[in-house]
Amino acid sequence: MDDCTKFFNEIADLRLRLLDDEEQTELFAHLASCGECRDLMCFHEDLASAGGEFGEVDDEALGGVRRRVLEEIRSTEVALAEVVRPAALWTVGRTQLLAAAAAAIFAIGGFVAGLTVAGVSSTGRDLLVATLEDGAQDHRRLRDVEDSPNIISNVAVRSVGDGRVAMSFDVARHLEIERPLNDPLVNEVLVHAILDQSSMGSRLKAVSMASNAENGKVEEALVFSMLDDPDLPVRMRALEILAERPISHGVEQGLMKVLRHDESMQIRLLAIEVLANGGAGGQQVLEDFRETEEAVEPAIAARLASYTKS
Amino acid sequence: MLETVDEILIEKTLAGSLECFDVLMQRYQKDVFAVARGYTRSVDDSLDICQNVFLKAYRKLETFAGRSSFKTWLVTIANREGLNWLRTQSRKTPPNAVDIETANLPSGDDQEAVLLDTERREQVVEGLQVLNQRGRLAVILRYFRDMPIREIAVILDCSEGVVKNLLFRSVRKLREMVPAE
Repeated sequence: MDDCTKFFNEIADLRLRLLDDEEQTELFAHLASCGECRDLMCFHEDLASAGGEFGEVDDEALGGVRRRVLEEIRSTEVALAEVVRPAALWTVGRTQLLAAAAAAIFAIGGFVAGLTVAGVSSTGRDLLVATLEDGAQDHRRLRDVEDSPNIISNVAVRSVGDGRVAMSFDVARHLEIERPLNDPLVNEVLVHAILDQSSMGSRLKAVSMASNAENGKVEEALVFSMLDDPDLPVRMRALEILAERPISHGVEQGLMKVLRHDESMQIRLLAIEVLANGGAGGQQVLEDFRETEEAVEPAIAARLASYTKS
Repeated sequence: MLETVDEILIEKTLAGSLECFDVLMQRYQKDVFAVARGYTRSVDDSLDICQNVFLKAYRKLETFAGRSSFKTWLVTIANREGLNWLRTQSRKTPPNAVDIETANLPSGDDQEAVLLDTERREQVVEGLQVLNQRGRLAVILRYFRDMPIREIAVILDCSEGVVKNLLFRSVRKLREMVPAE
């Protein structure tokens, strides 16, 4: 590096008061003998001035950026919580989950899925980690890992120095257990099975079995299934199971959504029937629908006419 | 909260505190904006780049290993994001003129001096666009954001000596483009 390059860089340091006395003396001596560096020193003022202009933006504009970033993060996290988390249940360890769901349906098994270490008690966490450590020591081949009852997913790893690695992951474990039909764990497993997108047959069986479950989350899962299951037979079965119970407000709202939005005429007609037989409340909802909905298909209009008073 | 060190704010952000991430953004928004501004000729485009930078930083925060300062890491992302922006723009339309504000100028005799100053600043900013990407970034970080040479070397992935040479060549080139007063 030649002298000019060295002293040129010290000009910026001088402006930032980073030079000691000796360095300053050296710099000034060079400036006294070098016209180009003197000129560049003056130019630093232009640069500094342009820098002020260049980085000039009002705080409100930057505040707006931050607000939009935070909104985006929040909305993404809500979407992830609603969509990706349930999806993870059926994309990870499909074989084991399917087997577990089937086992649950025949009341001889169950499974625990998506247990994050951060979300369990310290005792539970220690047990879980100990189980994983035992498994890790026993596994010798890839096949051992693949056949393990512990299903690890959603993995992130990073080095934290001192030769250590921080790991973040979800862990699921295959279990085979038996419980009475009204056991809370059965309800829990049924909810998972209803949401398990890997097999229509499993969902259909889980929905049918849910007819005996007197539980808010099971009812919510049935409503979810009636509205959003990709397969019509499952949506129909969920609607039939819900129709066997007293119609709650949530179910009523769900039935109205089916009536308005489902692509299948068959299930929409069934929704009208269930609402019409659901007492005065259901009748009133249908009445309102008939009066406010602008364009309905003839089949729907005819069914509505046969069930509503006017 | 505003005085809390970056590491703690990062830790809390990873634990779910968006408030802490907001503080981090506030702390370095001008650095990110300055880098973004080096790639665009409009404030709005620069703000868009800033938004992408912060979103990317949040999503990749888990991978920040602390080998450099958080500011250096953020500026590196901003640099990459600026390059991406340039690539997409080159496939679209030619850039607009630099939008340096010239409104609200004083009247009378001062006006001429201010106009000259503004003109010189415009020439400097315009000249920046002519520099190569590394030179432009080095000048912005060093002279507009007062970043130490060693941090710029980390961002540009080169030695401090290379940065010093780069700065010298870039400023000399800029100087040639801006006539003497």
